[in-house]
Amino acid sequence: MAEHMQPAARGPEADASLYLHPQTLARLATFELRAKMIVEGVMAGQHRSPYQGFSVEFAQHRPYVPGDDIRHLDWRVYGRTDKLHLKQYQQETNLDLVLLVDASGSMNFGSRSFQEASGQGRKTSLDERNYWSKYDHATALAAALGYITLKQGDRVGLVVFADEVLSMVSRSSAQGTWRQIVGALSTAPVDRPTDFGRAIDQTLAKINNRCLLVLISDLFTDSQVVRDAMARVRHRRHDLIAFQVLDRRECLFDFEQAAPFEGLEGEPRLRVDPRAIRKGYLEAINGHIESIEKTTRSFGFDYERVNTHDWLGPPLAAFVARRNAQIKRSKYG
Amino acid sequence: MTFLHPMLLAAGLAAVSIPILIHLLMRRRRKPVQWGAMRFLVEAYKKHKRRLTLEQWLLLAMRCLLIALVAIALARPLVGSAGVFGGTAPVNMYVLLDNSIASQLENEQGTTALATHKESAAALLEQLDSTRGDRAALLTLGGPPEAVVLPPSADIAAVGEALGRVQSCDSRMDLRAAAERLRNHLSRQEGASGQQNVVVVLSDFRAGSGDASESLAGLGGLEDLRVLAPRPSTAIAGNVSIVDVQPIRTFLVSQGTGSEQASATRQAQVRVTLRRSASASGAGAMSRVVVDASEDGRPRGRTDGSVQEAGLGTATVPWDPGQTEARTVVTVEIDGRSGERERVLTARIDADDLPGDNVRRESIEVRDAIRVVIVAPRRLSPTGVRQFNSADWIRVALTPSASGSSPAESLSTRADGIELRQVEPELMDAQRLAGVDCAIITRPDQLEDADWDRLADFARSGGLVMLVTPEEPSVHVWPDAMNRAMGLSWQVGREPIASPDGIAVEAPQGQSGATLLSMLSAELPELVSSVQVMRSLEVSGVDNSSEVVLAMSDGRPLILSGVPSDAESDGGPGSEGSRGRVVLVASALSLDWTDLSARPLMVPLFHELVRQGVGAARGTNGAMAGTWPTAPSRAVELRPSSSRDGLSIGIDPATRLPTRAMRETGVWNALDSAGATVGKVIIDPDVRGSRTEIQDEASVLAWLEQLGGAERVSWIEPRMLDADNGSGEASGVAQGATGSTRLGASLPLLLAALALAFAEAGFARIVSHARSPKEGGL
Repeated sequence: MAEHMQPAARGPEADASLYLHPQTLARLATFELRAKMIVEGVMAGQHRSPYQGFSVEFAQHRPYVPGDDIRHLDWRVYGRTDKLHLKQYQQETNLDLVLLVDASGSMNFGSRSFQEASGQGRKTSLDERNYWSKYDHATALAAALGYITLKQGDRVGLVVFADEVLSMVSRSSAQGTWRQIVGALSTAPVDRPTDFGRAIDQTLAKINNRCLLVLISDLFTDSQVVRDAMARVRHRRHDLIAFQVLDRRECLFDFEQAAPFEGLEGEPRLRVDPRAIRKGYLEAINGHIESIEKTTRSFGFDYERVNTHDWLGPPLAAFVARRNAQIKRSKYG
Repeated sequence: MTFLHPMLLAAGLAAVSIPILIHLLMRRRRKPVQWGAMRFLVEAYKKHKRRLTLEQWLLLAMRCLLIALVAIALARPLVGSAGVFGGTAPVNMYVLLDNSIASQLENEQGTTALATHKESAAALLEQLDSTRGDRAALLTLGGPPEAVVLPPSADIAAVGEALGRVQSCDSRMDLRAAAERLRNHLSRQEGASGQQNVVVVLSDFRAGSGDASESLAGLGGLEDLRVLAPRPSTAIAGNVSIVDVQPIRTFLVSQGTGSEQASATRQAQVRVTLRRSASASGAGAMSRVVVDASEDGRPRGRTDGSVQEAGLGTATVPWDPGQTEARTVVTVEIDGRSGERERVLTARIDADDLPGDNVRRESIEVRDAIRVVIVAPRRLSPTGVRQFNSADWIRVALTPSASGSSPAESLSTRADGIELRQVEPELMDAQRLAGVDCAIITRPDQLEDADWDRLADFARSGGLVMLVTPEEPSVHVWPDAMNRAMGLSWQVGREPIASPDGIAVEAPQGQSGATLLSMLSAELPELVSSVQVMRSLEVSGVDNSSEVVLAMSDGRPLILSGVPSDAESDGGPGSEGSRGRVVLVASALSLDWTDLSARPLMVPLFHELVRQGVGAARGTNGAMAGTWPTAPSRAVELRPSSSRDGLSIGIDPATRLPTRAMRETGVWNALDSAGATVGKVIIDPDVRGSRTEIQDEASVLAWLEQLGGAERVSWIEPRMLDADNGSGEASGVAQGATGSTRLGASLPLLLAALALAFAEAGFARIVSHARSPKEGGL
């Protein structure tokens, strides 16, 4: 098992390919093709607009009420039924994707070997870690999502946060955006505690129009804080997809020997027999995970659990498929 | 609570810290694990903190308790009935008190071992509770053991008083006999359930008092006994014992005649054997031996204690380093004017730590002459030595200085301290035999069965019977009658074996054959060298009870002696205290048979045979303390010759044995019904019991375990005898003496430790959740 060290700051020379396993990239190509098939040739039409206005595509009729703009009256209906109805259209906009990546200390945990996970033949990371941390997995996922989105011509932004926003890449669909994102992910420190609410507030203050927020975090914070933060996102009419990144060992807690445990976010050392406390621990973490998922789904957001020991492909495929299903449902249903 | 091995307990309790140290060391050596989901770990820990802490402490306590239990069990606690078992069962305490000669040993403070044992016994008795039903018995171990209080008495105070009256004796400790007596008592007490039987053996367990090499096995019925005993003494004690006092001649015969005899002062040579205990066998020690002819060890008329006084024999024995045994010969003058026929020689040595064996006595008989009768038919006087028969040769040999008369001229001859008479075989009656010391039979072939019976009775009463092979019959059947009457097992050939060229005679080899000829041992080889035997009867079947006095060069005995016995005798031939002697000459004293009669050996040979034979046949009237000596005939009681007020021991007329064992040394006068002294009985200390060498604990423990069974013997620790400890937990005796022994308390503890070990293993498995399923996962 890979043990854990305090990570060093990542250098700017980090190669984006470090985060994209060949298998992942191969799958991503498939995603792109599938996305193109959904809205053939129309990049803007690939994403459902939350604004029902008077744009291109008809949505529905509604009865006229005094004060409505008479330019939107459907005279054809008036001619047939002698009643005044307004035509409503579904506005189609470009997708602004904002990647929120958690860089707090708890994300630095990992039990998978770096060599196996990276697939690059490297035994250690650039900061000489020999294990694949949750942050490594989160950055890989963020890079992959950014890559897909940029390939589709949409704008992508990045927020790296811990107890506050640590770094940000403004939304853009320009050519160098992806490298900026990768660079930002590479330089983020990961040894600070989490303040999820503050980070969300700082992020929302920077976003004017509606965006799709992709939250990639272990969400090891109080579920009420998560609920409050998601409520504010909902209130600002943003959409959100939550990827909860977990290490398999965190969910198994399969230690056999008593050992002192040290928190990665400055928690005091705790001497405990893991076998004695395992049941209680699993109850606590599973309860928290379920609570986070329930909270997320209660706001109508998507939730996906990501295991660092799995390839990125399966969760990405599941995500894109579910997202497409939602688009289809909102468009035709 | 008292432990047999307190050091082991201390070490075991120190080992309790091992689990704690392991726990602390493991904490230090473990590498910390950095953990991301710490908040859930902390949350779970806080939720189960109390339970986890309790489990850990409980586990640690179980492990510590396990080690402590094992340590306590190995330390062998002495836990009483009020201890581990919590019972209040009454106790029967049997105190076996060593009052043997070894108990006279004094320590540096002058306290005897017996006094120490009595103090210990008193302390033990004080801790009994008669209201609970405790009872006590008291047996003394000085042989033979005496049941002072048996069966156990509930009157503890009375037992204590009896304890105070116990005095030391001069016999050796006999634990086996005491155990047998105890077994007999306990076998009659079967059915008295609910009582604990505890045997307390109080002794120093020196080599003399309790020889651990002796077997106590075979005492069935004592397996349930719990035995308590003090640890064997380790104090070095110097002791020199007189183990033997033996006059060279067991009686003195005057060489003078008439009035000279009455005033003669006779000299007796006494061989004194000393033994020194090995533990005191240092260099430079000397022992002074004083031998006197008084009964109390003090020379008569002696006022200043000077050893230069006439009549007092002294000798000094230097001890070489490591030497444990020494012999010396002391010449003592005996005043014959007192008119006493039997005199007592008293040997004594300097005082040492054990005074009981510093004095030893032996009697010596003073008489004018030895009365010898030759039983042979009378005949005409021989005209030459060629016509001498055996009786003639013996007469000449025994009275060589009776000149002027031919052998057959006089029926009675007195010369050289020997009074010789000759009687016809048919005139040999009991009355005639009663007045002689030695009967020489030269024609045994002419004796009837009644004559043989009279001879056997004469021999058994302390007479010497000398049988000479007759030359007349060609077939000898008389040995059959001899064997039957005397109870001998000699196989004598019926026809003589002729050796025309003669067979040489050899002096007997070794010490066993030289008893009767010990005075001639220096000259004997030269004297026998000229003797030839032409004809003799073949004798075989010489057992240990017989001795060959002279043998021929082909190994056949020429002269042999034996002790008469009969089938009704308990002791058997040659047993201790046997009286009488039978001497057989396997060749006729005729020149046709042997030229012994004409050789220089003849005179000294027959003088020694008669003198030493009579002394040997007379036996001894001495006995060791702790035995039942045979009293002289007509005696009805024994009284000490020294002043012991009122002490008298009756004599059973049927057996002539005292009514109780003689445990006290000294000279005892045997009195008849009229109060007249008819003889003396000398009781000497049993020096087997005065060996003061220390014995190691292991051997004594193994020895005592034969008594009570393995693992049922406990040592009495000094603090257990501390009455100030009270009857509570601190009272070692209340628990040790009346309670279980080592294994009795250790076994439940070991079982408890075993159960705790299983419980600990199970609990540790539960606490460690080693078998909890691997739940969770993504």
